[in-house]
Amino acid sequence: MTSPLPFHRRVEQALGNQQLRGAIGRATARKVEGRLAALAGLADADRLRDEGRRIRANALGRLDEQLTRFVEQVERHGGTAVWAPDADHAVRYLVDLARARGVKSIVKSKSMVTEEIELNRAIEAAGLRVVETDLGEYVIQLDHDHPSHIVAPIIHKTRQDIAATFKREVGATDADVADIPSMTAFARRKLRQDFLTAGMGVSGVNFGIAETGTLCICTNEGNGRLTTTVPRIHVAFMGIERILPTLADLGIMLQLLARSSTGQKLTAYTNLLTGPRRPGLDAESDGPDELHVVLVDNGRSHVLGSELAEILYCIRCGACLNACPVYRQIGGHAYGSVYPGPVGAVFTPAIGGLADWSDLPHASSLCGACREVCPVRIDIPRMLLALRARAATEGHGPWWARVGLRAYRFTAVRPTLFRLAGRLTARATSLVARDGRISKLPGPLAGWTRYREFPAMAPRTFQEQWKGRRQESGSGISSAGL
Amino acid sequence: MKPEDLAHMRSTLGRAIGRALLPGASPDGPSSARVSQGAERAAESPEELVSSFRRELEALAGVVHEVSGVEAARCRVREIARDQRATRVLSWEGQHLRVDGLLGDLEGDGLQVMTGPVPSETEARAASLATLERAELGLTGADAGLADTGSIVVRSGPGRLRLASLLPPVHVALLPRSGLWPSLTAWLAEESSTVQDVSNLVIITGPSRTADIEMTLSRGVHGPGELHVVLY
Amino acid sequence: MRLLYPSRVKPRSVQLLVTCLIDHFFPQTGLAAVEVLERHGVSVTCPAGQTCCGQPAFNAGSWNDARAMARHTLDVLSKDERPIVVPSGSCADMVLHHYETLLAAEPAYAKKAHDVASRTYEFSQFLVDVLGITDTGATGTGRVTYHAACHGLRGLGVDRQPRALLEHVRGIERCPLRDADVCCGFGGLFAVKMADISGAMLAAKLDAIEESRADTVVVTDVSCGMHVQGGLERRGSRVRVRHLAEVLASR
Repeated sequence: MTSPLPFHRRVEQALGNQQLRGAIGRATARKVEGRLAALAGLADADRLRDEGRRIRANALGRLDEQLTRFVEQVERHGGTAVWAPDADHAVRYLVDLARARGVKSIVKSKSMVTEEIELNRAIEAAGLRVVETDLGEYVIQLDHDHPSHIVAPIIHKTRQDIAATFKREVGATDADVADIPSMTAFARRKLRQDFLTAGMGVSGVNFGIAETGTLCICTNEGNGRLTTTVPRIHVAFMGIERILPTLADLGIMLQLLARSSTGQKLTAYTNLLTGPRRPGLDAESDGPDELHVVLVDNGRSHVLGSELAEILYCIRCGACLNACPVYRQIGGHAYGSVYPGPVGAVFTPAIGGLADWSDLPHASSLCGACREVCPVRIDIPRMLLALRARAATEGHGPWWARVGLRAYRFTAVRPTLFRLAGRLTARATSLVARDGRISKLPGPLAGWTRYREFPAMAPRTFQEQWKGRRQESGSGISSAGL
Repeated sequence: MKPEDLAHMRSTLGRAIGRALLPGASPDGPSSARVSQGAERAAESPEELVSSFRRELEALAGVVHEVSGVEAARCRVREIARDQRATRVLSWEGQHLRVDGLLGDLEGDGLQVMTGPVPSETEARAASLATLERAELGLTGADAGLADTGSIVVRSGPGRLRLASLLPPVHVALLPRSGLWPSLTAWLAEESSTVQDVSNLVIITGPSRTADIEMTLSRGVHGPGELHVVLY
Repeated sequence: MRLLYPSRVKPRSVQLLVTCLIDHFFPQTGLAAVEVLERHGVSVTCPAGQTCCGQPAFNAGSWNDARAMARHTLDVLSKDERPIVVPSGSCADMVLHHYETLLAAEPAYAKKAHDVASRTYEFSQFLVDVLGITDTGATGTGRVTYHAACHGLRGLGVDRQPRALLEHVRGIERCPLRDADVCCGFGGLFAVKMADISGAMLAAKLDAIEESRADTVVVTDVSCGMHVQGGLERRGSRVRVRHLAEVLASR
């Protein structure tokens, strides 16, 4: 999951790419509008969100029972459930299964957890072919790129970028890429052949229903249905937190998911799968003969047993990305992880550790827009703060901030010293200030004056003037505009 | 799951739950008990259900054909097939369409009707899929319609090909008016026990769509680009 | 929802938690807040010994440092039982929402934190929700727009109060601000540590401000105000930032 470049370099690259910023700005603005319009159609969106939050919290509070029940039900309906404590177990299971069944070619529908465990790399290393079939993910795969948004993977690309990719990588003609509908039709033709010849379909899971062993997979393109219907074997990778106790719970969550994600009431295909094709005399007409559900822990149980458990409530709608003013400026790639944006800034260090990801919790102004839009009201700022505290305890982060804050604290609990230090600083800054402003601060503070002026400190503090005012009763108001 | 893996899973999670901070959890047990009807402003009367269903599906570029009775439904499907200049239909078996004689009529109109099943054995499967893929029209029933979202609920099963609503560029679904429900929540409240009776149940809400390229809507990327619901 | 003022009797005197930034950089904001309160018959005391609420350390993750400052601030504010008014949304949010969790392991201070939080109000919240005042008798000139600083807006629900107060200021023309609820990019040390991202966010905010055609941007948090003002000055803009209290104090 690690990115080769340090965070600030990735940010520099992103901020320097005007085309990327324009594309992301326009796309997120549309998604924000879509979400608002879709929620406005609900009679009581607030109550529904409260209910969604409670469902997620309760499901995780009994995750051991719920997963056990889920496994029983999957197996009762003829599926196979597998426990994968880490990424390695998960990918190895799939590669071994493909080899054992003589599978050469695999089709995939979009899934965050398979990105997280780097499944495609393992499949290709084993000499097998894997094709991403979500239109966005297909382009990403052809480009050897990475998704930059949980829901909209190629939010950072223009139609010209994609046309060039289709022509370069898969021999599209000018007519094939003349406009967006032509490009879509071209991808349909190309990928249809892959669907019909694949020996295995790999998907993620939006929700696993404990009471029935049902997998719920939501897609708009229909590739999720093809992946789980056409090939003889279906392997579903599911993060262990994606459990809902009942189908009634699913009814609630589905009302929230598509609205928050794409502004739709429901995704075009809300696909409920309970076991593989039913065999026997009265066999079902089609569908996969085998269903394998790989339950991926990969750090999640560790997160569950911590103050960050709330991040596991996430239903991957992507609303927090669209609302986040930081994401809107830098896009997804700068985060350097599979999970970008506010949710990624918590989830990535939570499962991947702070040694590699200590910058991410700081990549936020704590404005709270993420918490405001989250369909299950996850308090992301609270957890960003908790991670910052953890990082400070573990000694990550710049020394100057640590030393500076220690010194600040030392004076702040000693009012006389605080006032004295303040006056001395005011004296010092008055020497460099011009017209009440400072245009260049030294050392680490230079970051401030790269983009803004810094105000000179007031000649007399409020408390000095207050004292004077009490003695002289009502005079001595100094003014030095904000 | 191997018993030792199950035990490992349970103990790992049990320990974690003991330390978990889960704000918003309520001790009242499963929340489904407190779930009321959908939060959507629900339609009530049969007329409202129909008009809401139509409005929602049409907003998604789906086509609603309102007809009176089975006979009219049968005629309308033949007309659609003719308008589409279809030569091959991928369909559920006749008994599941619940419109008697429809498949015979279509064959009489010169269409080739394919109903599966898809074989399991690898090569036979590939050959079968290659043939089914040539259909220009998919024909299925619908187990329910959801008025507040314009969705149809379609169950798989013997004689009920999943591919019929998936492979062809045009999908035609037959839905009786009596199958309309106000919302998904209302339908789940009554029918959720049937979800696990079959391996697949899909809630289809409009034609296949994508907005991956520049957030611009484009239809028919993998599934059908046209969805016709014949409401009878 | 917290009961805004537990008694039917409106408070006649308050303590001012002036905040370190106002104290050392923008004293006129503090004095303006006092003037407005006194104009409505509320006497103001300013407890000596107050320094910084600890928010910068808290947000940076240095919670031990933040705890020390929180304890100090609680000691200063607990000497007196009067309500506490803070002319800064983010500092009020710190006292209201973070002290108790930060000091949860220290029962005596957790209790103090709870007590202080129950009588702490952001300035505009105190005027509108506690005193029931929307017309402060203020007059002004020019075109004015309002930027909703995040901690006040989302932490305390402060938005309608400053807007209601501005609505009653005579002589000003109010201009809507596009994306008024989007962060200006300040975020404390964020503005320094992640200066480039913060700078990009600031640029977007400044564009919206220029588009509004206002000549004054009103804020309820001087920290965000300082950030936006610094950005405007760097652009050579003539638009000025003022704290709500200063606007309300002028007549």
